[in-house]
Amino acid sequence: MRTFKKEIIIALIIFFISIFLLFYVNTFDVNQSKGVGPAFWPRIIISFMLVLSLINLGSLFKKRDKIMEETEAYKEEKDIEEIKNNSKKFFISLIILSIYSMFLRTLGFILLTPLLLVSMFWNLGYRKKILAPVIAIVIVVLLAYIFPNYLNLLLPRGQSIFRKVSYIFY
Amino acid sequence: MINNLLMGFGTALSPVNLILIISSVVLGLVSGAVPGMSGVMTVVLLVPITYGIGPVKAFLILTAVYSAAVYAGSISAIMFRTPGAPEAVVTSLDGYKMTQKGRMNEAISTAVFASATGGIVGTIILTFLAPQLAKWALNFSEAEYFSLAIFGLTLVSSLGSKNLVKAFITMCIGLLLATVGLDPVKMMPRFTFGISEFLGGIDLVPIILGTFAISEMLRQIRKGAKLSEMNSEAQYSGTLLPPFHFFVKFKKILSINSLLGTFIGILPGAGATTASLFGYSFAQRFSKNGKDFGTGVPEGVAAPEVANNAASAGAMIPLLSLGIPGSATTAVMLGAFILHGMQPGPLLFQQQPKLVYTIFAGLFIVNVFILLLNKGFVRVFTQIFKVPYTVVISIIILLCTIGAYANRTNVFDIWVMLIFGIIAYFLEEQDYPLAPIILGLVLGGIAEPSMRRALSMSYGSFTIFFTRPISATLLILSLILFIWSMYSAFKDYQITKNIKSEG
Repeated sequence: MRTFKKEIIIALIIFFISIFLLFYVNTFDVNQSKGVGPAFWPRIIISFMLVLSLINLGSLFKKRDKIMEETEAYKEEKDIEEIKNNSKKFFISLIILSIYSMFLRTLGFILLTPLLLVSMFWNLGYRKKILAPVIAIVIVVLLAYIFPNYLNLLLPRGQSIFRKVSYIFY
Repeated sequence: MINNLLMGFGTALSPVNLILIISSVVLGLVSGAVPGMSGVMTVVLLVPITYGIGPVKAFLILTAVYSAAVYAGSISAIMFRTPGAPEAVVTSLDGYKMTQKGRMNEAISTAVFASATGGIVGTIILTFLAPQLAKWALNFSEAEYFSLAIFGLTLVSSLGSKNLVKAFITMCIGLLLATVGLDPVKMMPRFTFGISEFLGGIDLVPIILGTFAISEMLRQIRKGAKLSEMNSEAQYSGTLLPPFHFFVKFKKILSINSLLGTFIGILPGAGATTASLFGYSFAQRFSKNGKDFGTGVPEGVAAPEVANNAASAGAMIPLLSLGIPGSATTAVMLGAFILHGMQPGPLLFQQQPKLVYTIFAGLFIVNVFILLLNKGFVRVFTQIFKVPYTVVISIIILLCTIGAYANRTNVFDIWVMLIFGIIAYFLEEQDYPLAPIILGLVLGGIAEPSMRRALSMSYGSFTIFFTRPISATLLILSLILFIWSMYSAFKDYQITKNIKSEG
């Protein structure tokens, strides 16, 4: 949902990052005596981005009332409870994916992926106690067989015991 | 050229490739027809997955999915008024009205025959025009490549016509991402912040997956991960091949809109959606039933479908011959070429003639299979909606993580994909267009090294970009396009302001 507050936050983040990078980019040219160095091209881009972010901020304040009207109309149209519930699903999905990425190197694809799928199914509302794990396991076994054997794609094996287990599948 | 084309058909028609084309057409039909999925996203998912099977097979799959998805958007648009893809929005105007009147068979038949005609005409023009354009572009040196990249970057204006400033901001993000890693001339680390994984640059695949697929899945989750209610009772019983009277009845629409669509497709940034809009409004003017458009007439289905399929073939012309991606899908395709160690552009026709002409042949074959597979597909299509969408979302996210990991077998790339998925989600939520990020990332990788090498050739003098005629022309065109798009945006703003004040 587009809101004035979020618009401003994003525009300010872009603005401050541009300023930071504009100073940071100077460190690239320490050994550059003359001519075009490693900082030249990034400096042009960042300067352009800085100008654009200022124009963007200005236009946002000009359009403030219109954006706020749009937000209000959206809120009236949608069920607030549903929006909150979906936001919860959204953030839980991000947490699940972060945990998956964090432990993938150690636990490997075979063990961790069924857990990822079942927890995603559960979070998004598919809560069949037998079918959900069965679907997850079937998908993982299929992918673990097809990807390494037919598409030459390697999947994470994990470490120690998990690594040994993965050799059974691929 | 004919020999090359025959060689292309020989490769594309080998049993393995034929099976791949058929499966890809089915996959493309599914991804185009199911709302919430899209051709772009499926192509994105397939880029890393097809990496291990060689470029010829990989590009046959990608182009088949791309072409089939453009057509398939019309199926759900006609049956349920739920366009599977943006380019099918206009088709739903008359298509769904025809379904309501009990003329669904006629509407789907018209859409598929018109799509195949548009696709085939577009591919014929692609086959003959792209090599000529590539031959001309062989004279390019570093200065021209730089100017061409700049010209490609100014086309962001048409990709983000809704908000130019935001489109250019996301383009700058893409350009900055392209500078991460070792500097192309002095090999000095830039924007690595001490992270060793960044020394080799940011890989294109996780960025593409994050920007298009993960952000879209997050958006679907935020919307509640639900598909709209569908009428699964609808049945289709059309014919496989177009009857002769189809070509007689729609001769004007088929001929004009296929040329118009291809032309719009060639214009970088315009794409299939613009072509369908133009095709519809153009046909409305010259068709005998023009005044009935919008009430459920077959001409209103044929017109956008011919144009958008012709445009999807047309969009391949600047991609293959000049290396400029004009749409989100062709930007992803450009990424796929780079992933396979190739650079689309004039040299591609010399170095990889087998690949290029197999792609051309593949596009012809794909359009034939769209005709042949359509009837069976529509029959089973309604069953697809019985798979819970929550399961589909979870599987797509899983495929994304495998895709991000597989290219460099590095978990770090999954993090890159996730972070860019989240950033892209929040940017898109506030109306920042995402395709310019990819355009910036890809063209940034061409622009800076070309500029630095051109300046080395001219001993640091920038006049090299203005004294070479092609380079100068491209830069002048870029400037004109930039000023024109700014002027148009300002004019639109003034018109909206006036309407508001009058209202």
